[in-house]
Amino acid sequence: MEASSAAEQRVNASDAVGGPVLSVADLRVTFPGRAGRTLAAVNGVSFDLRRGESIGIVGESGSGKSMTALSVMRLLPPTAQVDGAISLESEDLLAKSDRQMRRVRGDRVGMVFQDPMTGLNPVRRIGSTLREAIRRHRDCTRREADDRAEEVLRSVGIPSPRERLRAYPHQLSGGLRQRVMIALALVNDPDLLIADEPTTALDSTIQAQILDLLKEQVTRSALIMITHDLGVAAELCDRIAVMYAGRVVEQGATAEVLRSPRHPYTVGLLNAAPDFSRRGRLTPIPGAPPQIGRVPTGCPFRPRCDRADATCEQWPGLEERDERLVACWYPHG
Amino acid sequence: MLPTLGAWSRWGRPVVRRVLEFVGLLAGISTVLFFLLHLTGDPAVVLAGEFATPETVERISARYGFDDPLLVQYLRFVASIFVLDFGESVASGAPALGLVLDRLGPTMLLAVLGVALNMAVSVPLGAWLGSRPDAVPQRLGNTAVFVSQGIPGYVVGLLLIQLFSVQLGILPSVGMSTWWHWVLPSVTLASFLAPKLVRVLSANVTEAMREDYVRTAQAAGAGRLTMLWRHALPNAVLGAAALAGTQLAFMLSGSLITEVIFAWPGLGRLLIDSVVRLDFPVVQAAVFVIAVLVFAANAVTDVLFQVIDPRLRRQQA
Ligand SMILES: Nc1ncnc2c1ncn2[C@@H]1O[C@H](COP(=O)(O)OP(=O)(O)OP(=O)(O)O)[C@@H](O)[C@H]1O
Ligand SMILES: [Mg+2]
Repeated sequence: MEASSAAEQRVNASDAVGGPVLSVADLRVTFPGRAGRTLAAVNGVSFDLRRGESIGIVGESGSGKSMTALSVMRLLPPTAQVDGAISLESEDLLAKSDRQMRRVRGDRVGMVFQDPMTGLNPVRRIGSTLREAIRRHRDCTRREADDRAEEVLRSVGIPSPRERLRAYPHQLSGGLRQRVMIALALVNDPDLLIADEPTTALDSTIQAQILDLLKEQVTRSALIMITHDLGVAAELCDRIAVMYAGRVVEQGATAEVLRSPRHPYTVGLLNAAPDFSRRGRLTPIPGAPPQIGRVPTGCPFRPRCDRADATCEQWPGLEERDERLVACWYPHG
Repeated sequence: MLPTLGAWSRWGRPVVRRVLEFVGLLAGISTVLFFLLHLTGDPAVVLAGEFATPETVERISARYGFDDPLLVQYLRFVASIFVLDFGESVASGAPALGLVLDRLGPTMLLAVLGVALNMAVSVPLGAWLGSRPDAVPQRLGNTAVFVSQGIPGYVVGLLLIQLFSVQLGILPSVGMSTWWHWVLPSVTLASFLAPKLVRVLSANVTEAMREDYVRTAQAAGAGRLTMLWRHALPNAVLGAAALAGTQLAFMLSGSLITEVIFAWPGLGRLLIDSVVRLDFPVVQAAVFVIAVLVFAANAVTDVLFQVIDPRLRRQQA
């Protein structure tokens, strides 16, 4: 196919200059609040991602993980206002028209959502959904599209893929459906795959299979993995960004962050996680994350933090030390 | 695994069930018709007409067997219905069933035109209204549909006649002899059906546009129109299938009224004329045929939707 060679050229071009596939700089997502206030759902998030790399975004509910991902897709709710810079292979995504963005979505960036039970159109066959996604971005015949659809279903580990093209979503199990969702995101060989809690809705054996599948994928593209589950991030991601109330509070190599967490929030998350708690028992972080309109000034975590004092009323800034970014006046370690 | 249903459970059982239902329906209808006739007084007097002499009544009584015990009459009546013998029209002497079947064509024509027009208008309108429920034009449109739902269909018919036939003189309003005659009756019939369908479709489309699978399509690069027409709308239309039954009932009463307004030579008009003339054999034949039509239409839509909608098909299994 003509277009896939264009994709290869893009690969080679970016390899040649060694630039990141995705670069997010100082991303802010705000919503209009009462009395002319703006509410920040994402507040100053930055990261780069190269081909073959994966970053895990972790944090409690409402911390802005999905909003970060949706910013890259330019699929935020209509009332959201985005600032900062997002570039995909040096192209400014925020400057693109709707029309140009449609050519990016599903072609250069694929996205997998949480719930495979509701994510596939119930009245359309798997093959029709895949074919539509292929032919939207590739100039090819129906047959060629079917062949490609079969190939991608096989590559995500779906048995007898040719027959599955004729199946309706309800004829497949949850695990198979999530594989189809992943196949749909991968069908045009994207440079970047975004997975927003792709395994949360699945039972644990299926979860492991889907994670293996995503791990395989990372080698071919770049991956943003959004998850509540530190274990998932540990298994899959080179780097990890811990978000709290719209801000990244700690970011670094996954192994390092998990071995020696610096931010008290990261420490708290680890102590609350079965696989990582160093204390004998699980200790949840006291309190709850703030609602979007009630984020305290300075360090947003200070009301729940045992190290906080008056200094923390100032935002400490995300400082780099030993290739680790931490936003804390009193970090661990 | 793909479910492989046996041919029996897929087709055989539903068909047998339908046939049994149908036999039950026939028995029910004949009972109602029978008592309808006998509750109105002495059926011989009714059939003989207002100015009949006692001898005529006597003769009719003998001919139709009204002197026999009620149970015998009832069984005979049920039996005659099962062999489709409704007797002759009191007014014309022609076989009642034949009279009724002659009127089937015009009624079917009106129904098909009305339903086609209803779909052709309601589906795009519902899709448009439901696609952006908060935008100003759509809000105005929704209000208009809501208001129009309160206008009785016969008022629409009379207004159409007043405007296009009387004032402008561009469309005929009586009979069905040319295509032009078909316009106002089908618009009138569609106006009975459309407001409800538009409202349901628009609500379904709004809901479907928020579904995860539409977002999935968008994340795969679909534009708004694709999301609307190819993803949300098919689900919205299938969701409106539940409406088919009530739409059918609406259509029946609607076509009855429409046929009367426009002197459309259909079943509804014949039924009303015969009721007025107390032409019982014809009334019975007409009611019978209408019941069969409704039953058949229901059964056909049922099967049709099972073929179309994979989700319904699964519930069956
Ligand atoms: N349309 C909206 N208007 C206003 N605020 C919104 C809107 N959508 C989301 N938010 C807010 O943005 C914040 C971040 O939401 P986001 O969905 O990114 O959280 P998350 O980290 O993905 O959480 P979860 O783990 O529950 O998915 C939340 O506080 C949420 O209330
Ligand atoms: Mg989320």
